[in-house]
Amino acid sequence: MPEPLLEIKNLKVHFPTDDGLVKAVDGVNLTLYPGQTLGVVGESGSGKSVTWLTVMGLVTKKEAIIEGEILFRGQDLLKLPVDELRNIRGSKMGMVFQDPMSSLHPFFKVGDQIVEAIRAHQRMSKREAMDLAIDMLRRVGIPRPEERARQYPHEFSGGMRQRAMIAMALVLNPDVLIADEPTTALDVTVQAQILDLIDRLEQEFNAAVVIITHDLGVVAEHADDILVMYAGKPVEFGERRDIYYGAHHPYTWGLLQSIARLDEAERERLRPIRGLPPSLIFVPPGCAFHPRCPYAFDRCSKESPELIPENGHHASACFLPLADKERIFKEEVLQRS
Amino acid sequence: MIRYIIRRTLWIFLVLVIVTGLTFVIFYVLPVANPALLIAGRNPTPALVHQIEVNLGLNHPAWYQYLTYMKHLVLGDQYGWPGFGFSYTNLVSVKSQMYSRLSVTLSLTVGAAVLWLLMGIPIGIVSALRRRSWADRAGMLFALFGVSVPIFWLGLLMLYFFWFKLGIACSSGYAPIFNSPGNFGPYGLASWACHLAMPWAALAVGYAAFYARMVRGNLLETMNEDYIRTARAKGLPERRVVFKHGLRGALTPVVTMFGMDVAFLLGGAVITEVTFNLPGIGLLAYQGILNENLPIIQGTVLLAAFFIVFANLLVDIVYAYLDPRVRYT
Amino acid sequence: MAQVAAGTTVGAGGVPGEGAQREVEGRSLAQVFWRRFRRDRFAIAGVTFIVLLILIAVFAGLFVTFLTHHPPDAQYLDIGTTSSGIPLGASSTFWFGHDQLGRDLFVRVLYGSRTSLLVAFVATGISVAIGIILGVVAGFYRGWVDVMISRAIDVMLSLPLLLLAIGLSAVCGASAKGCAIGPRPIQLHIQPGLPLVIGIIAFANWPYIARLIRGQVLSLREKEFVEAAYASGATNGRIMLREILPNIAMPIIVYSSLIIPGNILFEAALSYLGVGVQPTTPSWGAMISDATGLYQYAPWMMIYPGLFLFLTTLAFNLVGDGLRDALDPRTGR
Ligand SMILES: Nc1ncnc2c1ncn2[C@@H]1O[C@H](COP(=O)(O)OP(=O)(O)OP(=O)(O)O)[C@@H](O)[C@H]1O
Ligand code: SF4
Ligand SMILES: [Mg+2]
Repeated sequence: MPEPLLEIKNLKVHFPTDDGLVKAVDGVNLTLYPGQTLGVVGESGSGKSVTWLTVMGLVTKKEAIIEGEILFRGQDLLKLPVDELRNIRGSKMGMVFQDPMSSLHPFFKVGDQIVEAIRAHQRMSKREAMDLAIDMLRRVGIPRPEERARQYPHEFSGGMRQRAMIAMALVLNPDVLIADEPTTALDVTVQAQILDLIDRLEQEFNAAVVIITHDLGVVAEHADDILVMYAGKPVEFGERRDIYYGAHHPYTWGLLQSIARLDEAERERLRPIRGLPPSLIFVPPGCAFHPRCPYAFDRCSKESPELIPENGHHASACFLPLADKERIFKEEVLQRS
Repeated sequence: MIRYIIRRTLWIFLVLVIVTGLTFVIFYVLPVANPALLIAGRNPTPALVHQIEVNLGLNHPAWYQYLTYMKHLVLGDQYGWPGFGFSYTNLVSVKSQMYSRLSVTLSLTVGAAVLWLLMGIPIGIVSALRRRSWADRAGMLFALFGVSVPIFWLGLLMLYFFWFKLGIACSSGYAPIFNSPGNFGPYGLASWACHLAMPWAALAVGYAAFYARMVRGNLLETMNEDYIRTARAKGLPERRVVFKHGLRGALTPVVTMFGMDVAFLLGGAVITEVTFNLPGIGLLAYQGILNENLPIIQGTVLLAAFFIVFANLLVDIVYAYLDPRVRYT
Repeated sequence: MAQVAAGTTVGAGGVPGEGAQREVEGRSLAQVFWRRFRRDRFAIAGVTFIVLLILIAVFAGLFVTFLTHHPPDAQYLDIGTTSSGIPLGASSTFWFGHDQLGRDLFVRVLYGSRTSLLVAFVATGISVAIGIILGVVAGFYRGWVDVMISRAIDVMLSLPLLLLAIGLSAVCGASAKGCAIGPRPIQLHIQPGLPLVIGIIAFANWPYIARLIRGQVLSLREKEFVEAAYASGATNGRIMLREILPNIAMPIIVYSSLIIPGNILFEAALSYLGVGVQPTTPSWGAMISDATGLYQYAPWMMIYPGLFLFLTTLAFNLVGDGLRDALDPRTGR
């Protein structure tokens, strides 16, 4: 086992609001190794973004109550002074966001925005930095990068903007790239290109990559490991094949069955999980998923299940006996999806 | 770009024609009073009044008078170009009167504008960044006061307390920098500033309040933008995130507002000038209106409209330069 | 049709009829709005002040009958001014002192609330009505109608409106006969006084409202429920009245409340400049104008009317801010 890059220990992020305490993240444990690609999956509001924004230091103690540890190469980011955290952010960890349309500053040229990212961390002349930025734009597959660097974001298409965002995040060769729903706002054809690009760059840069998505289909080909989150808690963790060929949690089963398919014939079989995700202020007691779970039984509403490894790495937070999980997956989930 | 400028210039002319027409209708066609009586003095003979009417062309129908006015405006009159005619009360050319009074209005407007920018923008920024702090509350309380207080009341209160009661401010009225021709000295400058200090403050309070509110609202909105999160994710220092990325988005609309506000005031800060008895364009227009001194009214209204439309064009061009998404169309 | 409508509302499922659904949503939105507004202590203070002022305006006569016994026009030159004509200050029966004609300033200040409140509500109401009609028509029909209205708005916004308002007010107020507009046979006679002032203020304000509403309507008419209404064969008038107006009601209310303080100050300014209401009509602006030559010796003549004017605009500002924050809490206090 190599040295872990990032260890998240019992992370909790709670927002005090006028309506009550929003428990956006409620006990996340995780280890990330160099070169690993992690898929983080869950419905809207399950705390995926908040988890990783906290890792980046973009959710701070000013606005939220944060507990736990975030160890980056053994150093607790939550205890780091603001300036040191800022040094890590952007150079050792890069992040790409969901909406490339609004994530670039509309008033500054794309090249300049990348140059700014470089010079925030490295002493380099503007010229050198611009050369580096142009080189990076070329590597993310933007044609005529010299020209493009002098253009404003609104002159870029959505896919091109996301490439520029990726270039900006990777230009300093970070150890971790966090991509928060990098393809949600894009056309289907562009989506695949962006995911392939992330895959390729991951090899080139040997970075660890976190891909956040609400669609298990997006990470099917790209992730080594998958973390499924529900209501601020991880409910299942496993290698890719553990999840796709033997998921243990009823919520994951629901996600698997609602993977978006392209062809119409398949689309009819798309079966969303019934009900809505809970409010994070009044999370249901016991297993948070029990009001929506077709397999819930007495115990589920009283005790809350732990994320327990059952099969090597593969862990799930569900009271169903392992044999039942395997049987139901084979008989019901596989049949239908 | 060329086509844009041509189109906008045509628009300026159209608006100015409409403004002259409108002013003409309001001031030439509506009133019953006869301007000839204004010139003729006390107890005029009917023959004299008739003679003056003929001299001024008042015996012609309204449309003919309008066209004559426009002709002089475009081609110039005996006082040069553009031909604004002469004042009915003192028979001095309108153009020279407006010209001499523009410096007063300019002094008032520029000083107040500097003051309100220096107050409004920092208050807005601090309020937004320290939202709900005591500084925010104090700033917004000031802004509330500023947008609610009637400027003429504030002006009179200031005159009463600072000039009459405490004697620490200059009286109303205007003191030119060049207090005698060719004499520009510290004394002229000091008395100029002293007489303008209260008008500046009174005029600036309301605008500073509006600007503080606007900057605060814009900045709060901008700091929630995705691109601000990106700037932070790049690892930029927070100062740079706020002052480069945040303010750039938040202050760009302020530029538009500033240009228009200054233009409106250059056309005559009527209330301030009346309250502090400053002989600027606004006071000239006001007195012209009260005296039904038509050429003065036409001239000042036209000048004010010109400032507005011209500033509009200027502001649009500057805005397109500041916001690359805007194109000339 | 039901399918089209389902897309426009949250939490579809089970509620019959699209109209009913939107009503439910609309009502709860109004409830949320109202709850937020009620929590705003400043806004409630503003409302309280305005209600008190309305009571004062309505029952101003009662104060005279039962309390001061000084009608607003009665001149007490003998007891209210010195032999050289300087007004006297507050006394046990003249609480705010006298003005230059010896009148009871307290009573006149009470009566002055009528002018300001009339302007606040009537002038704002008229300009909002014009703005709604032109804005909705422009945004709804688009094409040349929109071009015409938009150009008219642009021209209006390029006019030195304060000067023109002063001018119109002065010209029509110059003689008691007022002035006449239009060619001889069908002339429109305008009487000087409060109605003229209200008309001028309303006229100066509609372009802002029309522009705002036009924008809202332009974006609304792209929404599914408008198309659904078309599909169901609703007439244009019905769509404007039933589908579009209710959806822009909130912004209209908020915006109307935000322009009220400006309108109050507009009237006060015109009256201050001596071209507003007739001299007999009590107006705070006119009272301050009366004080200009005398304020060194009789500061109360400007302090009290100005204070009421200030507090009134302040109260309307508080309410307007409260309504705006309730509609869009992100940038509020
Ligand atoms: N600053 C904040 N203040 C209060 N609540 C917040 C804040 N940021 C996030 N939340 C809440 O935390 C919850 C989790 O949000 P998060 O963005 O992590 O969800 P997500 O899993 O990324 O979903 P999505 O797919 O919508 O991005 C949401 O209910 C959100 O409303
Ligand atoms: S613990 Fe119970 S409710 Fe929760 S997922 Fe498992 S079976 Fe369903
Ligand atoms: Mg998210």
